[in-house]
Formats: sequence, C-alpha cells, structure tokens
Amino acid sequence: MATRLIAAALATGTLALALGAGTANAASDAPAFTPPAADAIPSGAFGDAIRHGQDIFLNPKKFAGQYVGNSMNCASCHLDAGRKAGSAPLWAAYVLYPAYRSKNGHVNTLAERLQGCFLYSMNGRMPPADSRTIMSLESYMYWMAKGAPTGVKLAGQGFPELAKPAQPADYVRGQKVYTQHCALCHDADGKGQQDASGHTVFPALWGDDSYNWGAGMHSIKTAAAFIHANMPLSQGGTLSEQEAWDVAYFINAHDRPQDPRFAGNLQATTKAHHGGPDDLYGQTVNGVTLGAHSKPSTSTLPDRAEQQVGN
Amino acid sequence: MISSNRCRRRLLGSLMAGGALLVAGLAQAASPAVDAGKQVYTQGATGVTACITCHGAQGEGMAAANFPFLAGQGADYLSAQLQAFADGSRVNPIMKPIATALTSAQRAAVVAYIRTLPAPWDADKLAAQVDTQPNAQDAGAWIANRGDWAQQIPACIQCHAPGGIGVGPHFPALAGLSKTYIVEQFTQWRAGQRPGGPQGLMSGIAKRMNDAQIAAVADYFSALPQAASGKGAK
Repeated sequence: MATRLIAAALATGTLALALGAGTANAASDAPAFTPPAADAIPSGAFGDAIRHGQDIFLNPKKFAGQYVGNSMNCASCHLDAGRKAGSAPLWAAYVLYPAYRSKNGHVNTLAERLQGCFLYSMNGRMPPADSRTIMSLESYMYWMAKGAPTGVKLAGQGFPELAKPAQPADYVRGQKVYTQHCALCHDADGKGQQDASGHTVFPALWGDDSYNWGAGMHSIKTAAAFIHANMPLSQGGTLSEQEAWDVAYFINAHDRPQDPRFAGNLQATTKAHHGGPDDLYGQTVNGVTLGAHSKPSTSTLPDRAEQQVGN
Repeated sequence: MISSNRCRRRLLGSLMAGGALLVAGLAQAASPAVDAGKQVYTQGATGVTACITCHGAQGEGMAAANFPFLAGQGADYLSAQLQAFADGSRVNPIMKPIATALTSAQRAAVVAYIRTLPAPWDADKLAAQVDTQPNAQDAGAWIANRGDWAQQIPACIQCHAPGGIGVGPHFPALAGLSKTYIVEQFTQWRAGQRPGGPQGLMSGIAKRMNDAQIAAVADYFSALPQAASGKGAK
C-alpha cells in the first residue's frame, strides 16, 4: 500500500514537471499572430482567387467536387474557415512550408501538402499542383498569413498536443463519452447527419463517408488533440483530456476507407505506414481487423477528374 | 427487447403473407396514433385548445402573431418542448396549461401527426441561400453563415443546416420564424427560462451573443424564406 502511494506520488510529480516544462516552452517560443479580418479580402483578380479558395475550403464538394470522395469539409477540422487558433489554422501552416515530412520521407511543397489533404482527409484524389483548386487554396492561405514571420511555429499552430493520458485510452470509456457528447450530431453509428436538402451538416466520423486510414486524424493522438480543443462545437475545452483520448480511441477503432497507399497486403501496409501506440490500423478491435475490409479510397469518387483538370 | 423482437417477427410474418401490401400495412399500423394526434391537433381535448388555432391547419404557424411553425420540426425537438412547457422549465403561459393537460400518449400522438405535415418551406431554395462571404455590414448574415468564433459562436448553419432548415430529430429549423419569437427564445435562454437544448448548446451560445447580434440573426432568419423565393423566382 505504502509503496503504491509513493509510486503514484512520484509518477504524478514527474507528470506535473513534464507538463510544466511543455507549457513554458510553448508559451515562450511561439509568437502570437492575428490574421487579417475575415471580411477584409481585397477586390480584384487576386481577391477573386482568395475568395474561390475560401469557397473550396467551406464547401469542397461544390467547388472542387471532382477531388472529393467523402462528406468532410476542410472547415470540419479547420474551424472558422481555417482561422481558429488550436484548430490547425491556415495562417500558421502557410509559413511552415516547404518542409520535410516523415510521412512520405521527402521535402513537401505547400501544394503537395494540400494534395495530401484531398487524397487522405477528403478520401479523394489529388488536384494537380498547378490546378486552379490548389492555386486558389494557396492564395487563401497566403492572404491569411499576411505579416506572419516565415518559418516560425506560431502560437495556435496545429492542434494543441495533449500529454499522455493518465490511463491508457479505452474503447468502453470512449464509447460512453461518444454517446454522451458526440452522438447527438454525429449519430450513434458515426455516419453524421444530412439535412432534407442532402447537405451534410455533421460529418461522418467513421465508415465509407469519412476520412481514410491515411489521414492524420486516424491517429488517436491527433484526434484527441483536435477533440479536446474544439469539440463539441462551441464547447471546446470542456471534455477532460482523458475523455478526449478515450473518445478518440473509440472513434478511430472503427473501420474507414482504405489507406490509398495500400498495395494489396495489410501487413505490408501496416509495417510501411502504420503501427505505434496511437494507430489502430491492422489491429483487431471487437473482432474486426481494421483495414482488412476497407473500401478502396477511390470507390466513392465522382468520375469527373479528367474533364476538369486545370480547374 | 423481447416485445420489440416479437413485433419484428410479426412484421416479418405480415411481410411474407402480405407481400406488396407491406407498405400499406405499415401505414395502417402507424395510423391510430396519427389519427389520435390529428384529433388533438385539429379539435383539441379536455383542457386542451386545438393546436390548429394558433399553429395553423398545416402546422405552418402564424408568424405575424409570433406563433411558430411546427411542421418540419424534428420529433425529439417537438417532444422535448412539450415536456418543458409542462414541467415549467420552458416558461410559457399559453403552452403550460395545454402541455400539462395532454397525457404522454396524446403528446406522442400529436408529435406523430405533426411529423406527417409537409415542411412549410422550400428546402432547396433555402439551402441555396448559403453565403460563404456575406456582406460584413449584415451582422445577421455573417453570424448565420460564419459565426463569431472570437466568442466561441459557431455559424448558425453549422447545426441548423444551410438555409436554417434544421437537421435530424433534434436541431430545429429557423427560417421563417418571426423576429420577435427568435429574440424571445434568446432572452429566455439567457434568463434560464428555457432549457438550453441538448447538451446545453444553445444556452451557452445565447449567453455569448450580444443584443445586437441576436436582433441581427433574428432579422436574417425571419426574412430568409422571402429572400429565398425572391431569388428563386428571378
């Protein structure tokens, strides 16, 4: 009993120290930045490009539908049209590219990074780097980052990382959190909700209409960080960190569209691109081997890419 | 669980026996509740004024007198309001005695009947009113379509659907409610005179909105059906 108490005290102390250090670093290193007002997009040809980028960002299915294979919007994860700190804001991302990414092992331009959003998060296909779609999105980001220092990690960049949870993330606890806080909008089956006009109001969190196994959000750590900072909508920060980890585990313990890098062998794909404590791809949860029966990512795409390339 | 399985088995049985009559059979099975609901809605019941008096023959409401439309609203939303009127958590001197006098079976029936009435709006035309870049001077349009995230206020359409047509059983339609009615709901949320909605979402948002924002949003949604039909008719 006494030993256990001491061990617990030690563990808590260590955790507190680690947290303190992390917070201090983040606060001192990352400069603050405020993007231009949302209604301050300039007029003229460049303003038109910015606005088109914004349209795509808020409604990719309508404005870049040939590249989109699910019901997500860019703004589903990047809240306030990509402006919100702590919700992977575009102004903070813009100044960090080109960058080396371990995901694909080479230096990525901003265009390639945006292509990845379509391929993975939107479960779609990549717009050509010189397409109007990529050009407009880059214009929107460039405008939003006006005056920000280049190559500097700004305060509010990405999703605020969470410390490891006190208890390992857990499916059953996560299911409870989901039922209580998420199912109202995203449905008990995770399929989201559409209105009477066929528009997706609440995006699917798993299943064929959600992000695929290659998307950043399939990482429990990433999803937990997003959820803790931003969900439920308008109530960000109200779930405990433990609840965020648990519900992120629950959501990402369900099957979703196949990783586009899948080449026919689950073990090989798992070894090459997955694994690690925050990734359930290839693991068996509730009798389902995740990724073994996923639909190929291209199965839900409209077949219009070729006609509209250059748009 | 057992009884619902039995029901399912019975339904399956009638499917096999009835074949093509299945759809008709289901409609009939649902109709006693709907009929009872229609009775309450159109003629009232003991201590209950007929709903039709204020909410209209088709559930279209009477915006000029600030009686909201009911047709097109989700079942869980309608049930929750009747419950809240009855238990007093949604303060309303007109609805309180009516909701209190209704038995729970009558409440369910009247909701079932309302759900059979067609929504009093054109969903596609309203949805087409979405504006990614509203005029910044139009605060109502801006909050409806973009929100005010500095105050943790999402765009209204993020939960009430593009065009404010509502979505699913819980999130009500807003387009075409009277301005006075909408403003009054915010006033009640802020005063604790109306439950905050599922997960307290609306009471939280209402407390972060200022009077000017509330008035502007109410203007926007009350005028939206007109704006939609104007654009649609051109």
